[in-house]
Amino acid sequence: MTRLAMLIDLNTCIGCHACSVACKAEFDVPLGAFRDTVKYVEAGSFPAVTRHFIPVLCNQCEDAPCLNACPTGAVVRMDGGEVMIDEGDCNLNKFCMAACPYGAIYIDDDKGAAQKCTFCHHRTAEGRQPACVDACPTNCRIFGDLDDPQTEIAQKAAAHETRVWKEDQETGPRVLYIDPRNALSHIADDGVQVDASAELPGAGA
Amino acid sequence: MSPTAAAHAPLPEPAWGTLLAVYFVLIGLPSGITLVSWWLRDRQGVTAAILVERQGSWIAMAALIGASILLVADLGRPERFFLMLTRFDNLGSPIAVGAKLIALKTFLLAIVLYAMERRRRTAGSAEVPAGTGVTGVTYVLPWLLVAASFGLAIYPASVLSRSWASPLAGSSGAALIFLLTALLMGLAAAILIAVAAGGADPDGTGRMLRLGRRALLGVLGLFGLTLAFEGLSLGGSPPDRHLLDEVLAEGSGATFWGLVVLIGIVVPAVGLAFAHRRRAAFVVSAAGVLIGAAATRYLIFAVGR
Repeated sequence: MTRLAMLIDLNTCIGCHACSVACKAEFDVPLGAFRDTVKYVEAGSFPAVTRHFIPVLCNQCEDAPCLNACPTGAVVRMDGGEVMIDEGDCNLNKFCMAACPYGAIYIDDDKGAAQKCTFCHHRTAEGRQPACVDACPTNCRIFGDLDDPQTEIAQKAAAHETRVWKEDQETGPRVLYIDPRNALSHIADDGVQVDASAELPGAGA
Repeated sequence: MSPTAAAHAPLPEPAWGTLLAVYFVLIGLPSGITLVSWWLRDRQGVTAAILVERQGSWIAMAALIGASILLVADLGRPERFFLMLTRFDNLGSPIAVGAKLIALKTFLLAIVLYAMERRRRTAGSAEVPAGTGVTGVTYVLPWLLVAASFGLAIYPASVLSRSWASPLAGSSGAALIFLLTALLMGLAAAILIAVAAGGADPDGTGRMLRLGRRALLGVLGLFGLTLAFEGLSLGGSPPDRHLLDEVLAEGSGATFWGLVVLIGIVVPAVGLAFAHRRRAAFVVSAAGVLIGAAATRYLIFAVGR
């Protein structure tokens, strides 16, 4: 059985936001909302200071709190394990948003539905890569079937120690990280969506 | 389950706001009124209980409709509310179950109200005891109503415990607190109805108030004990202690000590214990209980976000 997943190597992410921009363009994501973004985290104290770049997106959890919470059955799982939102069945009760520990779901007013990363299901169904993977200049993202030992993602996951974001939530994330510097611990209380409340009016335009 | 989600706030703003806060407070009232009416209807000699059941049922219906309007108004696409009722593919979602329970209770309450008003008209506007003209249907209906009301009384705990924004709802005592606050609201409403109708039947009202006073004092005692043990259970892990600090001292301290403890428990307990010969004491105590119960339900919704 296919188990689609994404492996992100934090050693090679340079925080260029090409993935975020490609995702925004692919789905026409509204201002202030994100399916995919990159967290910048400074850690340490002078002079031993470092900055981590951590791409974040929906984790397509194997035990997805959003899917379990949705009262209308609008959140569904595809054959490859991707968790998607059926716009026609969504009445925007926001229970999925309240349940998701990753803050990966946002409201798209134009579409009148909750939205989130789909691992670019429309592209992968045609044998293409997700937009963020295609756009990444350092190939820090690898997408594929984790259960097929011939795939690059399965081989790299087997060769490296991998971690998941918010492991304590035990949701079985399908987004794996190679994270030798323990960067994920710095965003343990964070989410995909960005707090723009401190920005000046019009700053996001 | 431990409410350790306090440290997690993955969205800049919680998904649910004021409308749902009011909803989770209000939904306790119809449940409490129905449960209290069901308990009162079998008390021998409490004639005012018949009036409480009829007027209480109307109030419960109004509160249910009000709560349903809040629930629908909070949806981003209110025109699709029917999906909550017609879709059965995820009964693991407490909101899906709750919406169906509200619909069921509204339907059952409408039948009970129709039967009560019809019997009353037949008797020439006199209050007719609930057992009059009992058939199989009228025997089963109240039990179904009680079951739906009990479910609605505790279901907010299962909804909110699934949200990272209401970590207190995942604590050990949350469901019991929701049940007790619903009962407190129901008892307070019953007392207010009895006091308002006092002139028509002084003896019946007197018996009703004596019974209501004993019941309210008893449930207030249980409520205080539950809050105390809830506090003890939250004294464990650091995230839980942070929640407890928020309730007792930080942002919600004034609400907890002022509305829940002082107005919701101390004032009614003193009023009912020492000034129970005055009707005003009943009114003040019942109003205090309503405020305290509402504040408690609000705190479970709001603390930790």
